Amino acid sequence: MSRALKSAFFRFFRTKWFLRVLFFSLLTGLIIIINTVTTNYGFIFYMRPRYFDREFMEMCIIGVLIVLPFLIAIFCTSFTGNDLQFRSINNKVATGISRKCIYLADLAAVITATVIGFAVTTGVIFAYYKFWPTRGSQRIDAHIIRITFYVLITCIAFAAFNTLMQYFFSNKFFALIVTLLIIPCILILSQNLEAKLNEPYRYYIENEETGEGAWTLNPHYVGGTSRKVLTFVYDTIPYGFQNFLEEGSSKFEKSMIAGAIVVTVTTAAGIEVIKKRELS
Amino acid sequence: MENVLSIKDLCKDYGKFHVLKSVNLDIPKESIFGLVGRNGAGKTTLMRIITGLAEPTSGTYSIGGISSKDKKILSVRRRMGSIIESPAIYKNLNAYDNVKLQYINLGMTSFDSIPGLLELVDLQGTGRKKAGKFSLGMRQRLGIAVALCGNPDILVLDEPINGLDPQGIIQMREILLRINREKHTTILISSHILEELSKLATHYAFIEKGEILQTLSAHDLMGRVRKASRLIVSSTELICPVFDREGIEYKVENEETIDIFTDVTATRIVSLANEADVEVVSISDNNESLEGYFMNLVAKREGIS
Repeated sequence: MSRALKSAFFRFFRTKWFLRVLFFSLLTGLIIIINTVTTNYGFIFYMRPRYFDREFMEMCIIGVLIVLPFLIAIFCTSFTGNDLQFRSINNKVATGISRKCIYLADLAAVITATVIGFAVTTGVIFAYYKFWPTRGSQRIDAHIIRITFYVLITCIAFAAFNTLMQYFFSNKFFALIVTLLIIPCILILSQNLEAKLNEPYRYYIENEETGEGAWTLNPHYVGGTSRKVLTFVYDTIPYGFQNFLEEGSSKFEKSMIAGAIVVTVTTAAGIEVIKKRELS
Repeated sequence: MENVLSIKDLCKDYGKFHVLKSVNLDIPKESIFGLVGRNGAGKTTLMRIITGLAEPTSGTYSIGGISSKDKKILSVRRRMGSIIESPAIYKNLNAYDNVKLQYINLGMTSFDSIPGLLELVDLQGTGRKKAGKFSLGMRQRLGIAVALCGNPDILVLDEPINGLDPQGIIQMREILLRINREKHTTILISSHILEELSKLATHYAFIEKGEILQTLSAHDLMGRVRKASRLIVSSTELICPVFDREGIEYKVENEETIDIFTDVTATRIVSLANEADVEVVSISDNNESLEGYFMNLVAKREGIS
């Protein structure tokens, strides 16, 4: 395992991927701040950030959850995908490094890049929130820390999923497309689920002429077992912002468990895929 | 002679397609073993299985006496270098780093021998130039350097001279001969360029449609190829009746060229030519090539089947 790890990290540092990850993470952090301020507060707030509250941090961290998985997908394609495309993985297999170790070492490098990317991106946001000179210090409370930790776990789950996809598909660009598309797909799914779950059980219809009204059952309301299933899915998929921002929501725990399960399952699947894969 | 690699009843199927059919092969130590076969004959599949890139459907092979079914095969693989189809190198790393990475893959901690290795393949002056900017010949040589990391006992090379220019082919040949002579490395090599292969190989295996047709040493091959004298004359049409009368075996190539397979002295040929009133322009040796031998072997097999 140590040979596989040394090999993966030698490549990570020597191919300048480390520097690229640092640069793009820094850039991502800045873009998220600018985008959050411009979209939600207006340009004037750049000069008056003392009005920023915890909501600002929440929005920025949500931004990390949306943008960082795209960067992870691109990094994973370039790092793991190249190893398969250049067929340099053959050199490792030919030297007797087990396929399992090759997969785990690649996964470790991708997760390291993810953690570095996450640390730099959120670091920029935290630094801006905490130390921007035109206002007083803001409190970083347990809720913010909790969201941040959740985003980290989710990003690691994306990293594990993307690594599996690179080994699963023989074409790295096809794998990239799948890993890029999965992000908007989950986003759309979460929005649809949110809309479905927010349907009221009944609504009040008032007769305009008489002024009398009556409660009518909403036919779009999802109840019973279906509601339980949809709620479970909504709670466990990475995006579901309404619950996400609710303090005391059980979404964090469920999603973190789901993230850990994704990492475990995709890693186990990836090891099986690499063991059975015919290398060209 | 001791065998460094032995293959026993190796089969490989892709669905209903049998790529390798019960292949048996012994590669003698320190030999240069040429694997000769047409496209799709199973050469690359065989090499991919030996190097651990693919699993056989059935059968085994052993490297240095360790069976492929033994867990120790992973550690034995460190004693094997390979290039399958094209060199597996990182195009975004320079030559030194590519070799260093393979040293790391092998678990080596000292990198002092890297410059010497690069010198062996004539890549000592490439500096920071990325492998992606190398010519095809340079990439092939870098692939050889990567395959040579850790001083392997066996080198498996699949089409290492594919796409090289004549100078590159000569350079590659010299490198391989040097490795075999100086480092006593056993080389298993396949190539479409059979003339080039015949300048290297000490042993051959002929493979067709997943079956080994024949294995023999270069010395045995020399004894088996048909000896011929190539005769260039003013008219083959006039001389053929004389050869027929004398029971001389021949093959007409064109109006002026004829190959004679019967052992006849040059004086006798000239005398017969004079008799037929034909002018002899030249007589030279034209022994059957490796390619010709292989094609005859394949033709015989197809005739049988």
